[in-house]
Amino acid sequence: MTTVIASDGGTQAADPLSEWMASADERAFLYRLLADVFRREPSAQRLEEIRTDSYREALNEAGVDLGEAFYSTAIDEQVEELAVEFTRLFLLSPGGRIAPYESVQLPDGSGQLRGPESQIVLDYYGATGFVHHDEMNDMPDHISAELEYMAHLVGLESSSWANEKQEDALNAIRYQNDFFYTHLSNWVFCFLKKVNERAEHAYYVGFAELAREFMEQELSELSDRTKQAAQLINRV
Amino acid sequence: MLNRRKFVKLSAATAAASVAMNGTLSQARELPVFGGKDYSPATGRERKAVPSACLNCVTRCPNIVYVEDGRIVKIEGQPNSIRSEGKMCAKGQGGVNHSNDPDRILYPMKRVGKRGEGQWKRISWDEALDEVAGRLKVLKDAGTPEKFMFHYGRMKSSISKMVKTNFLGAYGTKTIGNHTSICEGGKWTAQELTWGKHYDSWDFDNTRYVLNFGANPLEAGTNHIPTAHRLIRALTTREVKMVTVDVRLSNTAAKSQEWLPVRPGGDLALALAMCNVVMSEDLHKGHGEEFLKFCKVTDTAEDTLENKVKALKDNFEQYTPEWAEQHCDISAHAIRRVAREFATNHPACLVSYRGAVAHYNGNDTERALQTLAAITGNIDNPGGRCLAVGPKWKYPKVKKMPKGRKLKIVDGPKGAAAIPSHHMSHNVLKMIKDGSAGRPDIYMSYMYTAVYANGDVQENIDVLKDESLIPYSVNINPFYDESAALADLILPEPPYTERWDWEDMVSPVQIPEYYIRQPAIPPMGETRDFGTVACQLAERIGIDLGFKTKEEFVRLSCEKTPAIKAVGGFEYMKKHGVYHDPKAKPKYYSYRKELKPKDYEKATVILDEATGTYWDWKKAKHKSAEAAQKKGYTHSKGAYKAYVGQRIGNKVYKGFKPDKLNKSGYFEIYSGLMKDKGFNPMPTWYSIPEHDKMGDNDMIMTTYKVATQIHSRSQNCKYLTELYHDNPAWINPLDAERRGIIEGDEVKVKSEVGEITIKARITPAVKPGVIAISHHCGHWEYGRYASGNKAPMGHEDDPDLKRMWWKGNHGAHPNWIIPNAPDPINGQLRFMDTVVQVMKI
Ligand code: SF4
Repeated sequence: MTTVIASDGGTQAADPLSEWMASADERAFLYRLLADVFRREPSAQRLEEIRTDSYREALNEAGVDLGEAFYSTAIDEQVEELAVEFTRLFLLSPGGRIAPYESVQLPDGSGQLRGPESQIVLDYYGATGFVHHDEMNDMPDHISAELEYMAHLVGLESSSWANEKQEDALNAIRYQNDFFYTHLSNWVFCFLKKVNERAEHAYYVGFAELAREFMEQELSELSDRTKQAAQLINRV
Repeated sequence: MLNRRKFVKLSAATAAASVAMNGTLSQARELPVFGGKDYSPATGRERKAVPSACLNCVTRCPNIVYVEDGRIVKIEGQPNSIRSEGKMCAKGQGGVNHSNDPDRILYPMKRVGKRGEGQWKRISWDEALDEVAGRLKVLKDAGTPEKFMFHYGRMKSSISKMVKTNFLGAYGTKTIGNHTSICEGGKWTAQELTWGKHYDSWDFDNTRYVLNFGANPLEAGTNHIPTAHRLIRALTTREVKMVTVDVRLSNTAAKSQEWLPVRPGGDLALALAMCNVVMSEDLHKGHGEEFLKFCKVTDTAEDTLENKVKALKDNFEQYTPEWAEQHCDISAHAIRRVAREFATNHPACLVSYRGAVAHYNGNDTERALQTLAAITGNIDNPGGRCLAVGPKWKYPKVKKMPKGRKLKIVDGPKGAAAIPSHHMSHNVLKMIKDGSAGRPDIYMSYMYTAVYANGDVQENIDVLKDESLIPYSVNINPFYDESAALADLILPEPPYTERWDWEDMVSPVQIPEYYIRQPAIPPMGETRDFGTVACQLAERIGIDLGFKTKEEFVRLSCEKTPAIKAVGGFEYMKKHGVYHDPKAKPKYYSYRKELKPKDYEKATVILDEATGTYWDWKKAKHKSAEAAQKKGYTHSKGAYKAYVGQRIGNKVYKGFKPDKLNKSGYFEIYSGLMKDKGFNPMPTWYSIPEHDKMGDNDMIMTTYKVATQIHSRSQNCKYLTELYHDNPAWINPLDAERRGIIEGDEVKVKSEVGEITIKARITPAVKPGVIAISHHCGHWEYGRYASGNKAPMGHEDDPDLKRMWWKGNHGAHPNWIIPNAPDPINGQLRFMDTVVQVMKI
């Protein structure tokens, strides 16, 4: 038995498999959260959730301080402000928007919207059994789509651990590892740096910083995670 | 495991808030198994996946070969390999082109014009086999099997056991040449002198510091991909520091935190000075001191730690950093700093390869580096420089072998090298020309382009062309390379993607991995695996090998090898390609294993007092224990094969088991074998004689390999050659300016054996005074993609031939001007220290 950090921040004894499952769950939620942040401007409901004391505390613990003003501004006003900021940052060309696509942001990539990279990412989803719904009228290599895809893969890992399908869990980790290193990690840092530099609202500054930290942690741990999981189930 | 503390609350809070996910992705079917599956982009159909193994370089990574409509279309890494973890390099992926090379040889070919004229006729296998077997039989029946010389380049694992051990053994020739002296033979001899075995393994997964002397593991090397991806991981995810000593800013040097641009051959001075720093500052204390128990440092079989330390201090005292600075061009300050870092960041991994070793003084460079690793306690430990671990295959063997005979032509001229334990392949043709040790009547070469890969190319051509020197020459080859062009008979072999083998390369995780190579498609045309051809030749000569094909040999080996048999034998391997024992633990510190009395108290085992070595006199082919005692372990021929263990204090350890030389079971910093040959037993400075006499205008030529080509046998791979087909010589701006050379100029590079013309690349990425020219280029055969020249038997079935935009631009080959000169101790070809003159044309 090993000691792990429980979701309330305390410690508890757990067998290695539940430790793996818990950690996958936590990562999946983070991926989902970040996918949502970059997908669309936050709704009033979303802001209300984020502004609760417990969420504020959780954000602080993760190193994100959205500042007093964030919590004191009227919700309606804030919805408006963030809609403007989202549009300015990611949608409006004249403002020098940061096109949130791999094909545009990838250093030494095509630089084109709907460039060859978009198709490669779409092929990747397809080859792994995922369908990309174009209902948002957006590209498969949008930052939120790639984060969401990672969330799905991490979710599959978690459910495999839960169902004691360890080979499947390892399989899902191998895809996470592969997609992260061949796609996401190659452009996400450069994208987040731009967001951090150009964002004026604490919300985007804070979440860009959170995303950077989480991505860095993934960068340094994902390949080891693959190795350790393989060892755990005696595959490699 | 994930460092979860920081984000744990946020995840929980997000879960509680149940972030609405109007996602854009949905899962339509199950996640397929990662790796091992591929789909045609054109038809969407799944491609046939064959678990196999690469052979584009000696690393032999397990791979998966994909086949679509009977053609090999793609190669990927094997995700279940503990060695490669699914990674592979460009060279491995480029292997896909071998099979579809339009200049491939598909039928046995017999010369009809003059040798080298390019006139051939297709003959049947029966004719070819009858002709070769007939000639072999004549020699065997005459009692002169040694007049059949077999000269190979890459021949490892099952093909080596089939051909060398069984076929050539049963035939009775020991006139067998290899290619190791043009590769890394020098490093191996030096390692055999110190720790016995030839391979080393670098444990990047567990190291804290990497000190690299002249290796380029991110681009090439004996265990390239299995180590390269681990090194990158160590550098990026654990921020391990790497310092690279190289005359050139290789991609490995560029990814290091520090590049020390050393003078060619100055690596030895640098290594000696680092030993000086460790010993003079007592940095050996701790791990190094502990390891010294297992080291021989003085003439005495068992000496005290105090005496060992004194001997080390005395030997290295003269090699101060200030002294070394004069010989290696690295500042004394940097030497001290790096030596201290290396000694105090335990475990640290000492890496070395041809850049440091393929010099006149390479033998002692490697011995000094081994010493540096030893005195800092970085030998065979997690994170250090380890003894290689590989699988132990069992295989069928012919029971009764004749006593083999050999022509003494594989170790070079008498006295040219004192301990050529890996022979001197680059001098074989020279020895044939000389003739004083006899000449073979039949010269058969296999996966070795001696003409191109050795130095002094013109001499190689002259000898191979001369029918009075080599009356009959057979070449086994999938492709029409420079040696095939000079043969009398070409036996066409399929490329490795169409062959069987079991494989055994060393594992970077210290756990053995068993794996096989299997044909992804049947051999094309009438090509035949040479393992099978050897069986067919044997049958015609009247030798019963006990197996008839390579496939059968591999199958029998799977059944004979307990670990493989237990999991399902040949069928398991065909299905999975790789196997390792999931319960196996990494093997470190194997030298510390204590032997049981029953192991060394056998009737035939005696103690050699002079060395403290237990050895089996009967296995060493002595008549009695007394005779063995009289001659002694060190001076009994082949006694290393009878090694049992090493006495240290009142215990007997497994020790550092010797491989090819009669060294003791100690890690020998002090080498009695070197002393016997008239050299200093301790690592010692030797300057390079030609460098001592250099004039003001002379430069030193060094050679190197790039990430997208192997030394001499990959330029027919169009994917690779499109990437790298031209090799301008790297010249430092200071040298260029002195000679009035600008970027892209044609320059003449001249040595004592010839001259070449090559384009110049002006770059500060090479040390002043050095000109760096890569291998791989300047082929004049090997088909259209490599040289622009069509093989006489080439075909037109590749539309890419029309798209070959680099035609006429094939670079230059440095070996025309590299003398076939050996390291005087181990015989290694000195690829890195040729003195040349460089001038603008
Ligand atoms: S290192 Fe590259 S070329 Fe060598 S065996 Fe591995 S994949 Fe093949």
